[in-house]
Amino acid sequence: MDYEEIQAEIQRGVDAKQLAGKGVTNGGPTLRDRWRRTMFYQHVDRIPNFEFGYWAETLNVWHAQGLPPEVTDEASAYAYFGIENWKTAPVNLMGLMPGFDHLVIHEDADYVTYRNSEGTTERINKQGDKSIPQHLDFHLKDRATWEEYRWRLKPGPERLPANWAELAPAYNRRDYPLAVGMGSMIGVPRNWIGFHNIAMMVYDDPELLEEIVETLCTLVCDTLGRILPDVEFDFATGWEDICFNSGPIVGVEFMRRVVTPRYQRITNLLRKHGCQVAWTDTDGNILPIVDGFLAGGVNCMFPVEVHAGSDPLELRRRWPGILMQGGVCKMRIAEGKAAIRAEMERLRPLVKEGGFLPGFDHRVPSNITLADYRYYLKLKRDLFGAGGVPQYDESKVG
Amino acid sequence: MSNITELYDAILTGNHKKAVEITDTALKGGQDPKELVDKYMIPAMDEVGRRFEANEYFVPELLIAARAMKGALNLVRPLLLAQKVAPAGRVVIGTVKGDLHDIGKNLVAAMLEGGGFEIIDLGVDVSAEKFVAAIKEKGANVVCLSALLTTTMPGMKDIIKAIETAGARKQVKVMVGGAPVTKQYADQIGADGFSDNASGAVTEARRLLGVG
Repeated sequence: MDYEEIQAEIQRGVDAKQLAGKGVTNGGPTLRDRWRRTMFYQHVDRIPNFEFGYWAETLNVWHAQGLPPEVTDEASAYAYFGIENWKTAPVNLMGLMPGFDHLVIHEDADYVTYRNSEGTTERINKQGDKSIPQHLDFHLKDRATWEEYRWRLKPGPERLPANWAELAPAYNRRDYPLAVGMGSMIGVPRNWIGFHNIAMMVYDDPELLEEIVETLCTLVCDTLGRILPDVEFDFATGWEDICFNSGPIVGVEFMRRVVTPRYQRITNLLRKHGCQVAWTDTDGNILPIVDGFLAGGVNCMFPVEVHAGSDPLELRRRWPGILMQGGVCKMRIAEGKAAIRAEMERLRPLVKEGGFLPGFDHRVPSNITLADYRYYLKLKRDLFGAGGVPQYDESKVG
Repeated sequence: MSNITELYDAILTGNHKKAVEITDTALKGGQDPKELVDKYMIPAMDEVGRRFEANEYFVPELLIAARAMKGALNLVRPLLLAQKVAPAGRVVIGTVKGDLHDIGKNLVAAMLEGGGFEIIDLGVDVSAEKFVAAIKEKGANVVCLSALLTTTMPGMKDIIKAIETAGARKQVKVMVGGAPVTKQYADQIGADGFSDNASGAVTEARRLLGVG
């Protein structure tokens, strides 16, 4: 059974739980097969062990708790902790070409203020938490400044890697899940315009905002159209980050009228070329706009941030068949071993049901201890049957 | 000419131009500024808050309503000061030291202002010393502490301690909020109030001060 058949079954009233374990594919137990079986609600020997990474400070804090000094970045951490990964085709789907020149505007002992490649003026506290900068000014303010962006969003073959002719056949011989980007309809414009300003633009200049979204959609479809005939991708990854604890920064109506139709165009193109899972990254409380995503063919939610109101069990209850990645509450993992076990037991039925790749519901923050993180990973392998082999003796973790 | 009762709808629908126009006309016609605020403006923002919490309104609707409210308030505020009408409360608000996030803090400030509170916004990356100084200098009776990061959230506890050490704890009600902050955490660090959204912060501030 593939995803479309699963959806058809659900439409006929079959509970997603009854579909768990139905059907067996012919593929061997590669990471790609395991990913496909998991996402298509099929029996699997081990689920892929995917995670979201770490805040910049976390590995430094863990070094004082016994993390080997050679583990300094996400790649070395994944190897050390035995975390698996997918690959994403390096296509410049909708980036600014060229980006704005990086420009340091001011620097003192405490702060660095600079203009980034998206034209945004930001400030970083050199002493404090550097993971997310403070945005001071956004360059895209009106139709005139939009022109400075629009010419940088031209489609063309230069958006593909120079060695695409060699990459494509290599991708088709892969044993891992391969993703392709599917862009961002609101999140990237929000980075250019600003949270406050884009929310106001919904009312003050809706025509301009829709023109920006349409430009991005057209560019994404053009770029995807150049590569999809060459490779059958397993899934598409989008990025929005347009929700916070109280819901989205654009309303349901704007989502339905402007965003959903653009995603329909993108996901129709993806599905025409065999890519059935379309995934978007949106933190916060996504519940008000899940309908809008699903109607646009975006069928997988990530990272399902529990504390913000996006509980994976609730999402599956309200939208049977919805696919999810993430959904393990980082707040609970910070509360020690009993809370970690309780959180894992809570999610266990969902893992068994399928269509769910459990992992942290955002990057791992530094208030989680190395010992508790190791314990979480041990339980993930013991209780969920997650894959991956750590470089330390996990039997001694406990 | 618009009817004064349309001020409520102008704010509720975020019609800034109309809200300012009606307020200006009403004040020039001798309308009591306090009655304008109490009868039309604050009830409109309360309804905005209700709709926001019910997912009938989203951030865009909240922001344009707050803008309309602010436009009308700018005309009314000098008259209220002249009449020595006190605000619902005087609020010092800021994001704690080490944290540069201000989106949630700004939404809370906008809604509190719309709810009739005077706002002293200290911005982001604010030290305990700055909070204490502002509370004393401005005579605040509410302080709102915001944090987005689990790593900066413990700074809230330090600020509450600093307020206690400075002898100002009885003067202010402490409210905390931000993505990782919970009611349980607020209780644990000795905060008086907590809200997980901007609209709820107004209700909580009123509850703590026994107003509204």
